[in-house]
Order: sequence, then structure tokens, then C-alpha cells
Amino acid sequence: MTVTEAVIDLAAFDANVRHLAATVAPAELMVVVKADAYGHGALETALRAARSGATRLGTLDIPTALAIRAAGVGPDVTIFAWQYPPNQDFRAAVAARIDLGVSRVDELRAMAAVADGVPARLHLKIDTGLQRNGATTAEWPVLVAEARRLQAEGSVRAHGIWTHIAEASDDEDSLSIMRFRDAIAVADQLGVHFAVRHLAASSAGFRREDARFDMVRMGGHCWGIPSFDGVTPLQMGLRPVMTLVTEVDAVRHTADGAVEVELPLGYADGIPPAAAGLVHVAVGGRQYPVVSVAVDSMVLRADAPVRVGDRATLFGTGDDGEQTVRQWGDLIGTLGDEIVTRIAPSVPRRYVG
Amino acid sequence: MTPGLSGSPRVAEAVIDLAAVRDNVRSLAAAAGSRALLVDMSGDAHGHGAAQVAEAALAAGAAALGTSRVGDAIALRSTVHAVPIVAWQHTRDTDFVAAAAASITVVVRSSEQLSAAIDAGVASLQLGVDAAGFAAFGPDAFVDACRSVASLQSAGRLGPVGLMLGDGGAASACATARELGVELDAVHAVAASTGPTDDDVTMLRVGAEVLGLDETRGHRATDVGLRPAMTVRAPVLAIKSALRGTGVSYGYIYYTTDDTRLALLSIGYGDGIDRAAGNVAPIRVGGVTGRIAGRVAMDSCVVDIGDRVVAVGDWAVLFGDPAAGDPSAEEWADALGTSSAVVASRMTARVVRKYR
Repeated sequence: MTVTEAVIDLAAFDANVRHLAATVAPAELMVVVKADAYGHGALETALRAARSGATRLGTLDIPTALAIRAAGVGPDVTIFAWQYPPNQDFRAAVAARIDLGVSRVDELRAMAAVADGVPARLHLKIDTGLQRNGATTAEWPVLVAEARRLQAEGSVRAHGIWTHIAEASDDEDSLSIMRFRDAIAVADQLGVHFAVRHLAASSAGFRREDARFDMVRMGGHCWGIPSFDGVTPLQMGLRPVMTLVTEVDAVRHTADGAVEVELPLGYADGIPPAAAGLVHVAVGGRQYPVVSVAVDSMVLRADAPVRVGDRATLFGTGDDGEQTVRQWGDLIGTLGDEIVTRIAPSVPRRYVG
Repeated sequence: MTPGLSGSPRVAEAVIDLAAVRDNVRSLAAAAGSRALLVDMSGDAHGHGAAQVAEAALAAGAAALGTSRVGDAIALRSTVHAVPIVAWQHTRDTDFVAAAAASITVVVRSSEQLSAAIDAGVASLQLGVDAAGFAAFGPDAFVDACRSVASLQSAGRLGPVGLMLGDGGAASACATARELGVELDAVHAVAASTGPTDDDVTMLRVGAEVLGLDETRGHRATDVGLRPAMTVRAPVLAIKSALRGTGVSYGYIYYTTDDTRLALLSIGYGDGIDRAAGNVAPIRVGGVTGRIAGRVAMDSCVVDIGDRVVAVGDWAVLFGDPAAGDPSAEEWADALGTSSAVVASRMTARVVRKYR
């Protein structure tokens, strides 16, 4: 028996993925399992997604992609990685048929150099305004021309074009979409025609048909965390996947007649200290405010009887009267994504559904 | 591979300086005078790695270790022998039998826990005392617990027990226990709240101070000569030019004020730096300390580096030892409205821990 745990509802995850896939169709859905699947467990969720028919997974880094392949997800499922240490060796990734994002000519050549008979399958990245990875408009024709040369040699396949958008406003995103179309046109003129074009993540992918192109990459929505303000998971047809529970380990009656309730979860376990004074935790179907968060514990203030051993639900679906992690994020001033991702390995994950 | 770089791939890492831990323990031990030090390893030693910090602390003269959870205490026992390890936070799944087998000193905070620990054969016990600290013994329950302990001791079934004090209240708790016939051994209290005249306190409990973090006696750790042990750094992944007035990262909360260069760093909130650190938290790249430019994303963030000499693969230091010219966790704490112990503790498992 483990009293403190993050319960991961894989049936809810399946339902979210099905719903999102239908929403973005005819574009394809890529399920993004980076950062240990936002704290939900990259291997467990990737295997479940593949078993349920997902054909595209995004991992960010190559080690996660290789681990998913090694766990039995074969090359009929696309696994996409795109962020590398500066001296990454691409040999294992290319051998395992991992799709690779590429922003620079030196990376492109390093990928081509390790192709072993089958070309490295690449997604060329254009920067459309986020100012992170991606070739600038000036660098783009050079990157495309080099990909064309290496493709003719047989060492790479320029399979996809992609970008990240800044989600600063609808107008800014429209500008990014325009720049993306321009980059596709430039490549077309250079004789490189991409099979897969992808620009949008959860937010634009859900709301904007013109952002979907051939594929949409979604993380947060797959975990049942809405990316827009003022919307509940239910209103979007989603169900939160992670429920964080523990039990009351001490109760104290203060001099002023209040009840202070201690829970054995603290900031080293991933509870944001900024939650104090802002969020509530449900005990016995009632919500009580969090008053402080220490390294390994937190304190609630209760106005009704609470006993040692009572089950406490920090966030989840709302079924036990608790808040959702999206609500926690709203109240603390961040994304639910940040909260679930930072729940530490000291909290055991239990998979249900 | 990128020309000019070799060795294992650079990813975000936390480098823990165990010499700083040893120096801090020696300094705290000197300040403690005749009292021994109990070093609190809770939260995996605030994210520094309990096993490594424990070894360094013991080498520098710590007399005992503590960690809130019995499971963590048992894990520590695999490398730490013949030194008391104290654990005090229990739930229904706490395995007191395993605690007894690993010679863990169990702090009980209720009559139920006292019975459970005795039944499980725990030989080394302490009573958790509710002063201003958080514990389940109210005054009446504490008296009952003392009577139970005294009766077990007089029957020869239990040796001397210790007291774990919250914030103050040493004299009255010790007096009560002795009046009720309890034979006491170690009495430990939070170092920062223990005065030199609390004669009953035999041992001082220190935690984040050992790591050069947080406040000690009303001063910042670094103001009282303690050194931060953790340095967090991340490699530069890419550098690009940007014109004046360019929006950077999600939501465009940062715009460049000149034609400049932007460095992309391989660290984000998935590594444990707050998303809210964008535009406010310090970071040192190319020998200059500036601010993170724009929103921190899950896996990356950006620094506006102007004409600084920076190359792909260079390290950017988020926080470390200010004596080495790096920003401190205390500066991060100021920028984020939190404590330096929180800043360091919240680095996630994706950040590789290295030791020197």
C-alpha cells in the first residue's frame, strides 16, 4: 500500500488522444511524451498510445526516443526527436529509424554522415518567430539546398518541414503561418517537397484549422490540461490524466480554534511553494486552503473535523471535490503543464485504466 | 558531431561541490560548540543527493543524520553505518519493521505511532514534541506517551529515548519527561532557534545551511560564511542574430532593444527552473550576468547576449557560488519571491547531478 501517489489514468489518456485525433483530422496527431510525458511516464504512456493506435510520438530528445523503440515500438510508429546536446552523435538514432528535426547545416551533415544504407529521415525546421531553434529566413535556402544535395546522394530524406509558434496573439500566429507557407514555397522552388508539414501544438492545433497542416503536436491536451483560459477539461472533451493523492499525517488544533492539517508532500516532491494561500486541497470531499509548503510537507487550514489517515486529493479530475491542475496553474499564475512535469520521482506513479 | 567538441554530450547539470558541504559542516560544528550536529537530509538533501551529502557531512564531523521519511532513511543506511539516522514523518504505509531492522531511530508523534513502533521492535525511539513545530502530541498526549515510555523503561523493555523539538520549548518538554520518569538521551532542536542557554539540547539540527542555502540566525547563508554547494549550468545549443524589436519566446514578453544575438539554452521548467523566471532571473553567459530573455519554456530558454563572445557548447551558469562570480540561488530566490533552498530543491531529475 502506498498512500502518496500520482494515479495515471491511461483510459482517460486514450480517450483524450482519440478525441484530439478526431478534432484535428484530417491532419494527424503527434502525441508528445517529452519531459517524461509531462511527469506521466514516457515509456508507460508511449507504449499505451502505440497499443491504442497512435502512429506518431514526439520525445524531444534522442535517449527517450531510443528507449521507446527498445521497449518494442517498431518503425511503423514515427518517433520524432529535435533537441540535442551540442556534440550529439546521431548514429544510434538513425539506426533506430528515429525522425530527426534539423535546424543547421552542421547538424544536417552530422546526420547524413551516419546514415547506414537507409537515409536519415529529417524534418527541417524554420524559425517563424519564436527565436529558438530553426533556420532563419536567410539561412533557410542554404539548409534546404544542402538537404537536397544530401538527399540526391541518398544519405538523408527531407521528409518534413516544421516550426514552433510563439502564441503571443492570433495576429502574431497568423504571421508565423504566413512565414511557414513562404518557407514551403522557397523549398518547392528549390525542388524539395515535404511529405509532412507541422506547425501547431496543443493550443493553435485545437482552435485553428489553418494551423494544422498535415500534423499537430500535442502534449498538454493529451494529459487533459486545457491550454486556454477559462475553459475546463470537460468543456473541451478532455479528462485530466494525473490525480495526486496522499493522506493526512498530523492534525493540530491551534490556540485560535482552527485546525491545521499536515500532508506529507512538499516542495522537494514538486509541490510549488507558490501554491500557499492560493490553491485548495480536498479532504473528505471538502476543499481546504493550503497555508504553507515546506521541503517535505504542507499545511492546510480546516474548518471541519479532519483526522489523521484521511485521504487528501491535491488535484485531479474533480470527482472527489478537488481542483484540477489547470485550476492550480491559473491560481498560481503558471501552466498546469509546469506543475505535473515537476512532480518528482519521490511520488510513485500508479497506472490504472 | 559539431567540430571542436568532444566528450560526453553536454546537458543541463547540477554540480555539487562536496568540499563546500564539508566546509559548511565544520563551520556549523564550530558554532555549535559542545553540541553535536544532526544533518537533515530531507528531500534528497534538498535535491543535492542524500547519499553523497551524508558521506561529506559525516567526514566533516556530523554526529547523526535525519530524513523525514523512513524509506529514505533505510536507503541511506545502505551506505551509512554506525551513525544514528533519524526519521519522523509517518503514514499508514510506513514500515516500522524495516526501520527496526535497519536500526533507524524513529521519532513518534502520536500514541498510535508509539505503539506501532514498539510493536515492530524499534529499539531507538524519540518523542516528537509539539512546541511551535508541527506534531501530533498535544500536551495531554505527550504526558500519556511519557508515562508509557517510563513504564517500558522500568520494565527493561526500552532504553533511553530522545526528544525531537520543534521550535523552542526544550526546557519544559525535558522537565516534563524527567518528572514522569523518562530516561532521556539525545535531545535535538532546530539550530537556528536554539539559544546557548538551552542546556537540555544536546544536538543541533541543521539542513539547508549545510548546503549553503537559506537563512541561518537571521542572516543569509552566504553572509555568515557558508558556501553554496550547487552550481546549475546548461549548454548553449544555438546562437542566432536578431534585429531590434524582435519578440522572443512564448507570448513575446521580451523584445530585443538593439540588433543583437540570442543564445538558446538547454534548460527549462521541465528541468526545474520556474516558468516565471523569464525576464527576472539572473544567468551568466560569456562572462557576463544578465537576465533570461522571455518566457522559460519546458525544455529551453533564451539569453540576449549582444556582442559577447559565446560559442555553441559553452556553459551558461544559472546559479552557483557568488565567490566564483556566478549568480547565487539567493538572487534567484529574490527574483522569484522564494527561498534559495526552494530554488535548489526544485531542480528535477532530468538535471544530471555531478560531484566534485
